[in-house]
Amino acid sequence: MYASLWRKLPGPWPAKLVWTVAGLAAIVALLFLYVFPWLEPRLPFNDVTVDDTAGVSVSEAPVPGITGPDGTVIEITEAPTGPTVTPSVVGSPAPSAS
Amino acid sequence: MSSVALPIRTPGSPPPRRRGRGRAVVRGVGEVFITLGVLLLLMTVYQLWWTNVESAQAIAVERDVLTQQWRNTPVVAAVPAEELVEPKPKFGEAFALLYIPRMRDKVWALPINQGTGKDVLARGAGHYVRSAMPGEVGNFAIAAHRSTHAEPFADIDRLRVGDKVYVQTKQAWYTYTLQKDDPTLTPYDVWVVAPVPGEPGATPTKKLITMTTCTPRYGSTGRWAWWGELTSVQPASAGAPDGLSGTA
Repeated sequence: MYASLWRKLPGPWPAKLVWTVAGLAAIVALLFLYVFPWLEPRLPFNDVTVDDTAGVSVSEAPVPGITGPDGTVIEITEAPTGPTVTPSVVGSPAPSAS
Repeated sequence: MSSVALPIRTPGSPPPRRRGRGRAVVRGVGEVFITLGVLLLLMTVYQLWWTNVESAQAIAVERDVLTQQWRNTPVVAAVPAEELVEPKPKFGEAFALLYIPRMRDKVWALPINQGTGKDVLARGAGHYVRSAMPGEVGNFAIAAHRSTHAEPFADIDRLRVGDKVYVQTKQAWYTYTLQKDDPTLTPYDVWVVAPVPGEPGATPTKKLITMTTCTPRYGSTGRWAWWGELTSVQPASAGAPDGLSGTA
């Protein structure tokens, strides 16, 4: 494949080399400017959000401890290993005393 | 110049042409694989390097536009800073700048845009559209990349309880103090951005902030969240908070 392409390039070998470099540069530019930017958001490598786009509503979220169609929290069963993380402490149990 | 049969050839060997075709096929297949490998490498270079270059540029532009807007139309708060209401921005619009001294290499005047789509996150941090605005009772939830696209939250592992997070808007400076984190979340843990994190449906009484990003850093299988609470507000006319100017 590449050998035959090389043969089809015009001129002596230095000219062929210039053509090759120019061709490769054009291909890389095409990839970086059009192909990869199109492709990249479709790959699952860079997600940083908790999903609010996949149609998972809060009450349906497959989270241990969140049950019930009304989205009430029964319990958070998983004991996370990180530095203190019972979600109920965040924003604290909010005794809604206001 | 196709391969010329060498003069030394035993009578029983296959004719040169057939042998040449077989070699061409093998070589062709090999070249396809090499090409695919090179394409994958290029894709990696694009992700780990070029997206950073592009996003850094986009972030700088957004920051300039925003600060220019603020400078051109300064506001004098008519109500005490605690009672300020931030207007809901249009989708994709930058409306605030984020400062985190502990992550100052990457998060210093980082634009916060409305929305958390990938196109939005390529221009700074993103605000979960259904979450509260800064200073509002509820949960001001934002997300940003930890790798690629300028990787604003690359240093999230350096944050500690008690660290300050500053949000600057046109009207005010909001200072949040971090209280806790959870690096063991899944992408489906939407409760982390609920008005009362962990208690979907509950009525919020506090003014919280939530920051999410991915973990491990170069993957996206898990999520890391930090939570904090609003500890002070001051009007834009009062200038940057002490803690901020001190470390700037």
